[in-house]
Amino acid sequence: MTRIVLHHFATSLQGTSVRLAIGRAALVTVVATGVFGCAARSDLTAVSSKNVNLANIKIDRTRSKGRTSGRDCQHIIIFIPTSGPPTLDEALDRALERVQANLLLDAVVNWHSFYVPYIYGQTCWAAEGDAYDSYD
Amino acid sequence: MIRTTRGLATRVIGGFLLVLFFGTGCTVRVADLTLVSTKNIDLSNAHLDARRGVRVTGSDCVFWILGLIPLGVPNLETAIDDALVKGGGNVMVDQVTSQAPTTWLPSRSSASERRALCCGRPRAENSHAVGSCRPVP
Repeated sequence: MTRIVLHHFATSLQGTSVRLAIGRAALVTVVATGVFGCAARSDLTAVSSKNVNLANIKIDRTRSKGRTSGRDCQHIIIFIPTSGPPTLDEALDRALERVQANLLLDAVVNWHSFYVPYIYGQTCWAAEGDAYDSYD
Repeated sequence: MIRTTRGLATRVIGGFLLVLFFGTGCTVRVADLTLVSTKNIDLSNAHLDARRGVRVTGSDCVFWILGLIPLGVPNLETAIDDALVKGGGNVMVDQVTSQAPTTWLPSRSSASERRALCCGRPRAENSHAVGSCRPVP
């Protein structure tokens, strides 16, 4: 009798461990196939999201306001986004407003996105460049 | 007979839902730029007349197999270059940048397409300066 009980106990334990292993493998597969990450870089000679007098742009390269940068990010916690989709506009505005300029020259625009399913994700636009104020 | 009709209806609805699922997409407007360029331009004393430009669209598309496996990442720079080449200019003004990820079904496997679109008015050169990378003084 004791032997039969022990045998049943061992079998059920084996079944549980197999089920656990299958469950873990399935979880790892779901996470691994859902893991996502991408990045892209764009180099721009000039970019602005502010009002610039296009009819009369005058940039004095000696009057640079220095290298500035701005970012706009969206975080995804578990599967809940903390904000709306990030935009390049916002990243540029932040970079320009930091130094009170209205134009970026030799700018680099970066976009990246990654998501580890049900853990964390992030999507960002970032702009960096030499800030200038075009004057009439 | 009723069973056959029900089966057919289920298949039609299932197919419709599949097409809806794989045929969807959304466009996100990520930037409205007053001025953007990827070319060498001299902005020390530039006079741009937006009315002389033509409205063009450039794009850079990359396919994602099954909507999961990317074959690359679309690039804003390439999309702007594409638009500038089409418009024959070196600066875009009143430019709109959009991202349009769409999932669709080609003949056999499903794929997702991500696109960085640029719509704007590239600055057209005057007739004597085509190919020059300087705005018209």
